Amino acid sequence: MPVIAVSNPKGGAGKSTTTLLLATYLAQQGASVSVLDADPNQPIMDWKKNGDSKTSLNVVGGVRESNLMEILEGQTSQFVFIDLEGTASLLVSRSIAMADFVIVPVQASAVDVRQAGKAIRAVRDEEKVAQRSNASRRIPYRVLMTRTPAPGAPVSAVQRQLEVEIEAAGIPRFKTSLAERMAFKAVFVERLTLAEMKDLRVGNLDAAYENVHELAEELISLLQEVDGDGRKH
Amino acid sequence: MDASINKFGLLDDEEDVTPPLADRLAAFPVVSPRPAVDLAAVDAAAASHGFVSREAAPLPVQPPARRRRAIPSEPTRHLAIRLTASAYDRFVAYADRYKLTYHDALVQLMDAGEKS
Repeated sequence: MPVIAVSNPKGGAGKSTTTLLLATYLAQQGASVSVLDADPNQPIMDWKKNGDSKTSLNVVGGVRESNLMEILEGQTSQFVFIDLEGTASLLVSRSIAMADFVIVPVQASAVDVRQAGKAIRAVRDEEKVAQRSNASRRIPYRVLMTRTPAPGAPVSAVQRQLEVEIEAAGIPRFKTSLAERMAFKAVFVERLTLAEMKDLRVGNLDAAYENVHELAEELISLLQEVDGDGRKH
Repeated sequence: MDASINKFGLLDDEEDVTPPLADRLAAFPVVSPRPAVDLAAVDAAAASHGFVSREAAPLPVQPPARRRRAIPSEPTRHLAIRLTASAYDRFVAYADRYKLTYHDALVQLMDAGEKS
């Protein structure tokens, strides 16, 4: 069912990392998954094309404003992720308008958060536009804290303050965060999935795997809630 | 829960109510077709938050610019020439290729002809 847009107009917020980790994990669990690489740098297309991963993940590159709708029409996977560019473009806003769920990755930095606010406002306004023709249409979203300290490591004052502000603003966020981990960086270096790197020495792979598992579980629970809400209407 | 802890039956066995992720994933159908949208309204809603097109429209194809000839230092005369279509096309293509005025192209060709 779901088209999942991963968006923050700020570059380096962790969009591609989040997309690739979740998409490959769900594919490994038996789901059919596609990633539409809508980042001009084509990081996930590069990962797929120039790597040796045996993942069943399907990657579609070259997504532009002009062909987004056409490419979305042709998708037959259970899960379609759209990895968006780190800028405020019509490609991003149109993808948000077409999505069933939006993930907004955010690092604990003022610039990231301000840009994330832009994405959140766009989600809310696109939802209003969609509701003109379909009153039950919802575009749910969640902020995802990325590059957080691994469990047990000290949490910065900036991050604590950010978490308080997100809570106070009533912005929904994932309970799970994506920690700063060597293994997540290595996924792009080795061009393999986390599971395929088990023979390589890349940090605490078990902890990284558990982190992605928790995030995937939470995402699927949220998507099931969305699906249930949709059926009620 | 470990059976040894609960052997007197004081507590109910805890059940894992959440099925495995793979089973939950299997319940998801393939992506449904997207609803029709009014793109102009979608774009307008995002524009107020700074979302604009980043894809440049292709530049219109301009005919090659011909260099303007400097004002001649001597009186000029007009020359009207009737050519075959192929010779005309060849001459114009030559002038375009080297970005010459027809006058300069003719002079250059004469210079070249006299040298050889």
